[in-house]
Amino acid sequence: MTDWINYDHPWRLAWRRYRQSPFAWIALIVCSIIVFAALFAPWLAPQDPYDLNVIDFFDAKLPPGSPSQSGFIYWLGTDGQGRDMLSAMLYGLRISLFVGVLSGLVAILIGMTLGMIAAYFGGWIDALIMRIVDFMLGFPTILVALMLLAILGQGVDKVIFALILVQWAYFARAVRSTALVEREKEYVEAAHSLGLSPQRIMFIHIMPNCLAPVIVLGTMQVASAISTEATLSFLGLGLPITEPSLGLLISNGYSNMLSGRYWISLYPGLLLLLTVFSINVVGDRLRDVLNPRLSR
Amino acid sequence: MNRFILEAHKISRSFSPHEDLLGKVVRSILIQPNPPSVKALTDVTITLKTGEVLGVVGESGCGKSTLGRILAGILEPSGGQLMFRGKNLSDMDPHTRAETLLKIQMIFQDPLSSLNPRKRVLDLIGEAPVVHGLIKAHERDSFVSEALTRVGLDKDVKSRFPHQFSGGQRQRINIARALAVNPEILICDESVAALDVSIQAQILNVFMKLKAEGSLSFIFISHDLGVIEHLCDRVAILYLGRIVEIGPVDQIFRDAKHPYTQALLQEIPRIGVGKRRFNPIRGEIPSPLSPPSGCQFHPRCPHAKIECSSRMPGLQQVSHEHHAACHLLYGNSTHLTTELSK
Amino acid sequence: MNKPVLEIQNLTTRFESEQGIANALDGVSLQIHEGEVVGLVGESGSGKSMTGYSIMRLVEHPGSIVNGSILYRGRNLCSLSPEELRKLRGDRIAMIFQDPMMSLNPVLRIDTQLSETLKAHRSIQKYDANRRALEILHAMGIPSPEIRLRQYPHELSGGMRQRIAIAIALLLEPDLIIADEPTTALDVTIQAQIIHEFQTLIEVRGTSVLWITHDLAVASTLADRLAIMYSGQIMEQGPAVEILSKPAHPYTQGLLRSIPSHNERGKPLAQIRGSAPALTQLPPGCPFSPRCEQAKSLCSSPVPTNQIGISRSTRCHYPTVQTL
Repeated sequence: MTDWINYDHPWRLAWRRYRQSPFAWIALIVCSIIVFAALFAPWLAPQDPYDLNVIDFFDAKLPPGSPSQSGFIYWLGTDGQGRDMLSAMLYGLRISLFVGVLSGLVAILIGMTLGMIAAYFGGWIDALIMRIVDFMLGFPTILVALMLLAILGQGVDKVIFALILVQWAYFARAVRSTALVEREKEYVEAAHSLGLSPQRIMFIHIMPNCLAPVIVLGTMQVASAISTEATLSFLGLGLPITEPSLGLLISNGYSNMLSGRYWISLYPGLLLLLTVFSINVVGDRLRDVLNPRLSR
Repeated sequence: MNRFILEAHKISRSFSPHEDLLGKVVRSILIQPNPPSVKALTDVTITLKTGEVLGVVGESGCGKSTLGRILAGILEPSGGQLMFRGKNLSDMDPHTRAETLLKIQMIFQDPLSSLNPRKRVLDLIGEAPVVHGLIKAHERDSFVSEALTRVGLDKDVKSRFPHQFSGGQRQRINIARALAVNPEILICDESVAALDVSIQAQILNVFMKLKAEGSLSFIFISHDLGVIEHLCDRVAILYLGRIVEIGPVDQIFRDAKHPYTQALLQEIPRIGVGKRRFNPIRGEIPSPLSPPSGCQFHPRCPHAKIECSSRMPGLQQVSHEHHAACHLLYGNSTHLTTELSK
Repeated sequence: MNKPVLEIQNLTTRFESEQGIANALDGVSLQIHEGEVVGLVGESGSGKSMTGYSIMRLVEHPGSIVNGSILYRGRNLCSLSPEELRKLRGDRIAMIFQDPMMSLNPVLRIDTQLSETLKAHRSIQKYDANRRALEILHAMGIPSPEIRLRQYPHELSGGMRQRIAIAIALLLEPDLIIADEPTTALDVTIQAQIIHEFQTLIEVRGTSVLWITHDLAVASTLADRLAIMYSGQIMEQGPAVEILSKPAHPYTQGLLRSIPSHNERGKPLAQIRGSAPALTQLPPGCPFSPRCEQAKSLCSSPVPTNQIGISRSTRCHYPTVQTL
């Protein structure tokens, strides 16, 4: 109702509003810790779960808190091969995040470019791109990914490829609709009248103004990519056993659940839950603070 | 040299509803007619003399913004011709055309939305001149300082973003940005309407200072007749996409010939009259989708006759440079004067 | 003089935000008498709309009324319970907004909206309610009201919607109408029609009106008295004719002088320098002093409201009545 003049950059204003929610603030800290842990897993993990020399098969399936043959304590127990669960989880997290973030970023790149092209050219190019988008979004994500992996076979690269393929359409649609709204604003007409080239108007003037919804969607999509990858790995079609992600760890421990060795599945499951949950909370808050209708 | 800097000859523009491929296919299968298009402008002919300020007045839906955008080259007309200094724009090669259109710049109504929210003042003003090679990249900083000073802004604001300014300052930035490419014509589309009263005067003074400098001609689109009277040399009154009257400001304000112009002039609230009663003209502004037959003003006109509903009146010369489109003007003008002075 | 319908005393409405504390209204005192039209004129951020919202007790978080009283026929609106307020609002005091869709429900037919309003405050038969609705639409100059009654708001033009919104406000024959820029979004000819019909109706019924606008010209054609607001304060108030011809406050003088018709054609307009300060960064003393040509050192100390004659007051240390 009152017209105050803000003296802040839009991003800084959004950041300040972000911090007003303590819950989202905590989620962001959790996210940072998770990312930090994933990045520095080789230094944080007490054991290298890939190094067969340090893995002692006699330590297999030990409950949390048990001491190892070589003296240190398995805080979260060990799995069927005698690997330290904590270390395996840190390395698994590393792979899960890598797959999720990389596929998300490439999908953003592809989706933004195609979305901008659709909005910019219009006509049959727009129609073509958007029908492909509709087609992609018409299938359940997990089904497309499963079919692809069944054809391509296992491997980190193949999982990332499959995840990109099922994700880019969301970004293309979001960017196109935002760009179409931005295109009608007077500053675009002004740029037009100043004789700037259409490419310049599209990519230097309009695109930066379409970033907010992409960031929100991107955050959510990273979370969904992580859980999709976990699902695929759980079903045995995702990552190979040599590069265990969180999903694969859960899958490995699944058979031990009934025999009471809950920790092999439970802890990776909780970590996955925490990761996806906190990323989603951050995304939700970003949606609130970046929503143009809420900004003064 | 041509005394007209800009001539628009029988400009028309219609907007048809958007239809996608599937819609077109379905329509051609069912053999349906083309969807109705809205005629925003019909046969508008206006000229702008060098150094002149031409006002364009009208209510919503009269096509004044469409006209402004066509004259600024932002919209393409569906019919008619645009001439800049006697040369037809449609005959030009794309490069010359782009260069010519750069000479016509536009100032928009909303000072905030016409500035890119993620660009700093330095980029906002400095981008186009650098792109077009009017200045070198290293001259940009001093160029922008000069441009800011010209419109009465402090040159230290270069690194700020649009939302960090007040409405009046934003409009000054808009003006500085338009001036940066050395235009010869400024088209101001309701450029002060969104501003506070005390700020309006400041911005109008900027325009008047620019006019006094002598190198610019203006088209000033507004609904505010007080502003038009103060600023303009000539004024065109638009109603539903047609010019109903055009002429020198002093003549129109003293002796308007078209009943619509008379109604407008009478119904503008003015200060100093004290508390008073309006005697408003009837009816609503018709939808451009289904304009009335004949003279489009006849359903609201207090002087409407039978022929007004059947035949469209053409613009007719009243006196030197003063034209109006009204049936009451044809034939005996004495009859008209008595009729209209009632 | 007859007794006031509404008496605002020293009203202060405050907003607290990240940028600091802002007094959207700062010691506003205003009286509206029986059958009187008061024009409240100000620029954006001057607090003119906030005055209307405060009277209607529609100020929402983070804002609140922190000081002063709003007396409606002697009852303090600030101390009423929500239930008592609800009864008063719409019935005795009605509000018209700039956007008619603020008071119209987009999914209900016009006749439903009118009769709902009636039934909420009166025990009335359906037949009578419909008759009353027809009457009021007719009085607002709405052509073929029977057809309009069966339409939805989106089927009507902007001018027609505003007429309906005004009709709803007038339906219960309130004592006081608060009109917040009701004609600003409309075209001149439509504005003239609506002002004409509104004027006729309130004169017949003797309704008091607070007409909030940024447009001095509109206010001057309607109002008996004017109040000029700036940065949350009423700078000057008094009979419209006197203020328009002999303003006492430098701000009013500046505003009036900057209007094109008060200037010689084609010559630069007299202008007020600078722009209004943010409410969080007001200068000490008179908020207008940084832009005032006549500011002296005393202007940075608190400004009292000075009486000029019997009916006028101004908030300036050096009020000088100037004839324009």
